[in-house]
Parts: sequence; C-alpha cells; structure tokens
Amino acid sequence: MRFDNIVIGGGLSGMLAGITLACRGSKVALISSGKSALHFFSGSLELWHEGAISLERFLRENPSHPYSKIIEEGSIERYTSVVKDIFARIGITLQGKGRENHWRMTPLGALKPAWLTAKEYFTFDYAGECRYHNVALVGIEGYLDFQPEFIADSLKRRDINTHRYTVGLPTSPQSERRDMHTLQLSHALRGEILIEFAHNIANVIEDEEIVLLPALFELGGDNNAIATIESVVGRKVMMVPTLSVSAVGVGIQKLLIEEFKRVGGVFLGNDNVAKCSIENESVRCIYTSNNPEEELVAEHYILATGSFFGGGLVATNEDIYEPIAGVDIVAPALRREWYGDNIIGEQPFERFGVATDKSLHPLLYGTPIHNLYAIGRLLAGADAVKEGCGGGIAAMSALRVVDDIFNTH
Amino acid sequence: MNNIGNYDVIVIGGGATGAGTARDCALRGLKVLLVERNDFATGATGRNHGLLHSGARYAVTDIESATECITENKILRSVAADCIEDTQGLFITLPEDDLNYQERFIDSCIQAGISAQAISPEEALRMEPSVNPSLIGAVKVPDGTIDPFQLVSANILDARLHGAKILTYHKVVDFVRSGSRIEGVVLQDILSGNRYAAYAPVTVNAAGIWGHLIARDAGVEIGMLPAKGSLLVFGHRVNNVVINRCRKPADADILVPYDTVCLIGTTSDKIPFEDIDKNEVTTDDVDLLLSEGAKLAPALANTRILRAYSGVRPLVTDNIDHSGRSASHSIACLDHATRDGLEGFVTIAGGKLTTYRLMAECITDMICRKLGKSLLCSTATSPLPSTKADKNNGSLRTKDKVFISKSKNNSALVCECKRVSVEDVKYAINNLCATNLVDLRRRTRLGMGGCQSHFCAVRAAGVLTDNRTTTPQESLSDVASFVNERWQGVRPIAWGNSLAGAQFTRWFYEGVCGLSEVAETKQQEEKI
Repeated sequence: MRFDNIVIGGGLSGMLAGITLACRGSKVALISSGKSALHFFSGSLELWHEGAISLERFLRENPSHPYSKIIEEGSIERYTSVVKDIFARIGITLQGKGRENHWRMTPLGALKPAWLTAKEYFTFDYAGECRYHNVALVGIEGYLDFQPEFIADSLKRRDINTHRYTVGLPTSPQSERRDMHTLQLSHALRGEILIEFAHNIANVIEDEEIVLLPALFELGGDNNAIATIESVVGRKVMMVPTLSVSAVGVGIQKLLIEEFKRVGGVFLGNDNVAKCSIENESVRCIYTSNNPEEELVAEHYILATGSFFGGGLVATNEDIYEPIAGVDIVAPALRREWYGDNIIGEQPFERFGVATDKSLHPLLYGTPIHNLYAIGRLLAGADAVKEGCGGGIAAMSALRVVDDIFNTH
Repeated sequence: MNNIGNYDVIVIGGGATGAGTARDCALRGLKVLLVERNDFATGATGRNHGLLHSGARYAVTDIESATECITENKILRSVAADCIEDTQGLFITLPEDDLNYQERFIDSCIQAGISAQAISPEEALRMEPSVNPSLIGAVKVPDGTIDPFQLVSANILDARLHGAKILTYHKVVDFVRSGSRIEGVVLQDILSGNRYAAYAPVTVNAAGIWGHLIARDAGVEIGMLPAKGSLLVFGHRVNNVVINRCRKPADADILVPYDTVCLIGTTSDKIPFEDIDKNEVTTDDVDLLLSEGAKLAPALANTRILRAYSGVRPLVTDNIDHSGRSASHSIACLDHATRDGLEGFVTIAGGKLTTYRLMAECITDMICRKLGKSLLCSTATSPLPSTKADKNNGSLRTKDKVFISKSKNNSALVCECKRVSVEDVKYAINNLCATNLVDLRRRTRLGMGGCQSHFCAVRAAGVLTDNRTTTPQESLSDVASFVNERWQGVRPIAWGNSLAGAQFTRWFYEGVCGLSEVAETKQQEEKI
C-alpha cells in the first residue's frame, strides 16, 4: 500500500501531525499501538515556564533542546492557533495565549504553568489570581482517585473560601463496587444517573459561587455533562484532574482518532511497526505486526513513538535503542549514568532520545535519513516534566514537520 | 526529663526477635516496654527471602542450626499459620555440581530430623515445571515461606493485647546506670525530639546488627559481622516450590515464590559498620543474581524484575570467616552480667527469621531467671492473632475497641495490586502503629505489587490525612518519600518495562501532580 505520509505513533504529536497532513490533502496512514500520554491528560498543555527563564535565553544556553530546532519567529503564535483549531473541531475549547501562561491546579493542589487548558478546568489567571472566592469542592463517596483535602488545603492557603462535600453515587451497579475506577465512574455518570448525581450535589451545597468536581466528564463531541450539572445546580461547574487515568484525555484521544478518519486518514489501530527497511539513507518501506506481508510505502515517515513509556525508546541492561529504525540515540553508554537519586527530581534518562538534524531527520550512523522525521517525546534533549514543555514539544514539532514536508516538497 | 514508667523489662528492637521477645514476656505476665528507633521490621527481618527454612540449607555445614530450623518450622506452621505458605522446597543438583554431595546432604538432613527425599529429575520437573530441566538430581524438603511483616505485626498486636507498651520511632540515646548496672534507657522521640527515661531491672538488646552499637553504648563488646545480602524481586510467580542448589551455601542459590512474585537471593558481602544503614544494591549484585538465578529457573532470564533490595545479616562471630557465610548461624543469648560484669543488660542476636520464636523463648527464660521468676513459655502453642482488618476476630476487636463501619468509603480499595482497602489502612494506623506510608506498606503490602505504587501512595496519603494522622502537607511530603523509597529499589534494575514504569511514575507525580512543589513546601518550613 502506498501513502504520501505514514505517521508511526498515535499520541498527541502523531495525531496532530496526521490530522494536519490529511487536512492539507495528503494521503496519510497512522499506526498506533494505543499508548498515549493523553490518557493522563491534566486538562492542560504546557509550552514553557517563562517565569522561570525566558525561552530565548534558555535556548541560547541549551542549543541541543528540541525547541531550538522547532521554534522560529512567529511560530508559537501560528502553531498555537492551529492546535486550538484542531481541538475546536472536536468540540473542545482550549483557552490560553501563545507565550502568556496561566496556572492549572493539579490534583495535589499545586499550581503549574499552562499554555492551553480546556475551558471546563479550574485555572488561575496570568497573575496567579482566581476569579472565584467561594468554592464548593465535591468528592464522591468511595472514589479515592480524587482527594479533595489536598485541593482544599491549597485553596485555603490562597485565601479562597472552600467548603468540602462528599456526595454518594446514585444507586447503580457501579455504586456497589469496592474499586471505583475513573473510567467506569465516567461511564456510569450519564443520563438519568448524571441528573440524580447533580441533584445530590445541589442538595448539599450552600451559597458557593462555583462547584469543583473531579474531571470525570468527557468533553467535546456530543458530551454535555458539565452543562447538565450546571443546569441542575444553578451555578458554574468546573473540573480538577483526577489522580488516575484521565477520563477527559481518553475521550480526547478517541475524538482525535475520529477526526483523523473524518478528514480521510487511514487509522491502523492496535498495531505497531514490525520491520523498517532502510536503503540508501532513506526508508524504503515498513511492515506492521498485523499485516507482516504487506509493504507500506510512503514519501515520508514520521516517528512519534514517544519515550520509554510509549515504547519509542527501549532500554535493556546494556544499552538504549530506538526499536523501529535503529537510529542514533543520545544517551550515555553506562547504565549507572542513566539515573538520578530523586524520582521526582532530575533524571538523566528523561533527556535521552533520538539524534536529529535541524529539520528533525533522525541520524543513522551520523547521517540524516531524509524521508524520516522524529517528533514529540522521542526527541533527545528535553526534560519535559521539569521544564514543563511536553505538550509544546509534541504539538510544535508535529506542526513544524508538517510545514517542512509541504514547504520542501 | 519525663519518666515514662517502670517496667519489668525493656526490649530494644522492633524486628521479629524484639517483637517475639516482647510478646513472650507479655504472655508470661511481665510488664514490657518495646522501643524501636524506626518502624517494625526495617532491618534484616524485612530484608531477607521470607523463607521458612526447613533447615536443609544448613544440614551439612551447621547441624545445630538445621535442627533448630526444623523444630521451629513445625511450630510456626501451627501458631503462625496465617503468615505461612507451605510451598515445599527442592534442592537441585545441576550438571556443574557434584552429585555425590546429594547423598551427604540427605544423610545430614535425616540426622537433623528433616524429611529429605531424593526424587528423580523428571519428578522434580513435574513438581516444579519452572526448574532448570538440565538438573541431574533433586531432593524434596519441607521449606515454606513466611510473611515477615505480618509476623511482626501479629507479635506486636498480641504483645499489646497482653499489656505491653510499644514505641516506634523512639531511639535509645543513653542508658540509666547505677554503678555496673543498667537500670533503664533514655529515649528520644524521633518525630518530636523529646527525651524520656524508662526504667526496668532488665534491658534486652534485640537490635539485630545495630545491637553491636547498642552494646557498645552500654559499655560491652559483642563481636558481630555485618554481611550484606542483596535480592531481586521478579514481577510474577515463576515457581511454586522453593528452589535451592544442592551444594554448600553460596551466592544466589535460593528462589522463593512469594504471594504473586518470586525472589532470588542472596549475595554475601562483608561490609563496614558505617554502611549498615545504606542498603544499596550494585550493578554487579544485580548481574550476579540474574545469571545465577537463571540457572535455577531459566525463565527468570526473561521475567520482568520488579525491584532489588538488600539487608544486613546480624551474624555473631566467634569464628570470623572471610565471606561471612560459614560463621555460626546459631543463636547468641548473652548475659552481660556473667560475661562482662554489667548487670541488667542481656543480648539476643544471630539466628534466623525462622528461629525468631526460639530466640525469644531463650532470652525470655534468661530474663525470668534474672528477675527470679519462674514463668513458663507458651509461644510454642499459643496461636498468633490475625492482623488483617477483614479477617474479623471478634474477641480481638472488642478488646482493642476497634470500630469498623461498613460504609462505602471504608471498603474502597487503596491498592489494587495487593487488595488493600481503606479499612485495612485505618486498622493499621489505629492498631498497628503505622504513622506514614512506608509503615503502611510494611503492615499491608501496599505499593509492593506489580505497579510499584502508581496511585496507591496518594490514595493512602488521603486516608492518613482524613484520619488526621498527618496534615495535608505532611501527607504529600510523605508521598514524595514513599515514591522515592520505591524508586530506590527499582533503580538498580531500571531497564525494560521497569524504566517505562518509573518514567510513568515521574510523569504522573511530578508532571501531572506537581508533587515536588507541594512536598518541598513542607521541607522549607522545616528549615525555618
């Protein structure tokens, strides 16, 4: 089978690349194993924490950072609007500006800088101010992946009047379970049960301006749970992320796949690349596990397979490699140099990734593979967690590569 | 300094030996105080194979230990049945081993009273399909496994039910002396910094390898050898029967199935006393355990490793030997009055987890003699209580005034891997002296399953906060400590899926949740 472009990896980066390529008239296939960091979506995408260090200065000091190959004059503003447009098409309104951060509230009550946030999530503005002063924080009986005391403690320390409530789930098969999982709860809270649940909230809350709920309600598409609850409780309802898989993120992942198909993309789900044939410094074809006999051929191939968690990098007790094309990796050879002491502090392994040239072509024995690109977490040189740039690298690198494909060819 | 009371006996150390001694003393009617500088089972008790020895391992080299093991093995099967799984054990001979050793091994076992039966390699493979198929000989013995955390909890619970006072996170910083007599201890509460004195005519040093330092503080010398042993935990239960090598005890020659996982161990390295708190596992340790482990069960080469850990054997050295493995494993029960002229101070050391009860009995007999009381030991026949919140033991609960409601919040699962409920967590906090997440792990096995704590830490932190055990900020700092405690065990084996899992932990706790921001807030406050 022949395509114009093949995207390998169905996380945020791969989906954005696939959708934009297809929208611009390219015949695209996207191969996805099903793993995606979107499944742990916090409600926000992060670009850069300008307050800590300006991006320009950082890139002068860190020329090997992926952003130094991605960002040029005006690209942040341009790509920000592309990302917002794509999300708008799946019915999700992302709020935020290119360079100006707002602040998202984490499930533990921390405030983290955010670039774009779905409008249903509770945030603080650029100046760190919250427009609400009287908040009802609602937990669910028996549901442990939302711990309101941490959020309440944080809000109180920020002088926001916070009342905690715990409501029961309306009687349903789910409410009798011992292990209430986010996705099952999300699925249960629909239709009549949702309305009864909203009435349970309305019955306990007092005169607060706003109700904060765990982010159990899918957004976009034809989902309207938040509006339904708002109509019952008669005031604003916003969400705080859960300590678990993200119901919202799982929903977004599904909607992005639907959108990709709608614009003509060929989605090969639950599949992965079994073999990649490279000749004369270019990829000749690939084969997938589900169709090992079928050659998949394209003008360009985009690797968006993520880091270790996504399977884009593989570590053994002896080395680290990129399993599809076997391209060059930026990582020290000795295992003891891969790790730091504090798992939530500096970790060298987070910066490991594939080596690329300026146009994000991966190198093989030092030579770029000119019809292959790498995007997202697979790129070497960033600690997306500490720098707060995972979403930004995923989106910007995808859109940069799509531009490159159309500009060059 | 406050006086926190007069006792018949003060026990220093909250491992199996100390907990067993406190229980034995309490069951005999003595007034007991147990003090532990950390949490229960933080030393060698919680850092070994969890093997209920048949004694076969020592039959050839140390018949005395072997005899003690088989006797205690039988006793524990009846009094601590909740903590034990009867797995049985195999001693296999591989082509590179000397098959003649097997005959000597069986003879020694029989002499020690251990049922040891030679079976054919084919029969061994039927009994344990994961065993190396190239084996040339096999002997079946009554090995088992024991949950050291539950064992200690049960001893502590029963000691308390019989009047013992238990203080964790209390360190002995000095002794109360009168001439050449120890009359009590000076304690420091690690959490508050406050100091207290407690008095008793007899103080028991049951502090494992740290007993060497305690004795020195008391003014006496005990020759001890710290020998570090490292182990690996694999992600699933490859074997159902304990697999040992039929040769003189050596590195990495025991593979123990445990609950849903299995463990290979151990290495043995003499270390200086300065390093006894380090518990580091090196790359070389890991590589050795993996290569030797695969000889016992070849499937281990392709099994995910969950974590690595190490402990320090508290060996008493009459005959110091180079490797630390052939020093006597048998029990040192020392009266420092007759040995060193120091009254009121005794030491119990050496031994093994399997013989903890016997050690407790020996030292309690000595304590009774010193107190001039003739009181009989009943621990060989009195069953230990259950420590599980869901195994409702009416009489135990009534005595301890535990109220467990049936509400939905209490039955919700905190840790799915190990099926730990909110109720289990609350029970451990209220009845088993758990004060933080790592304590809770030792009581409930929370966070010890396949995911090595993705979400359970923060759920349990929520329960601790709700229970007003800790403030929200303390709980979050505790979560940071807990995920790092898990990371220390993952780090030596962090490749493959383990590295992917560690990366996920980091993304989730730091990326999604911003844990270091909220956890550090507290550390900064502490600095001020």
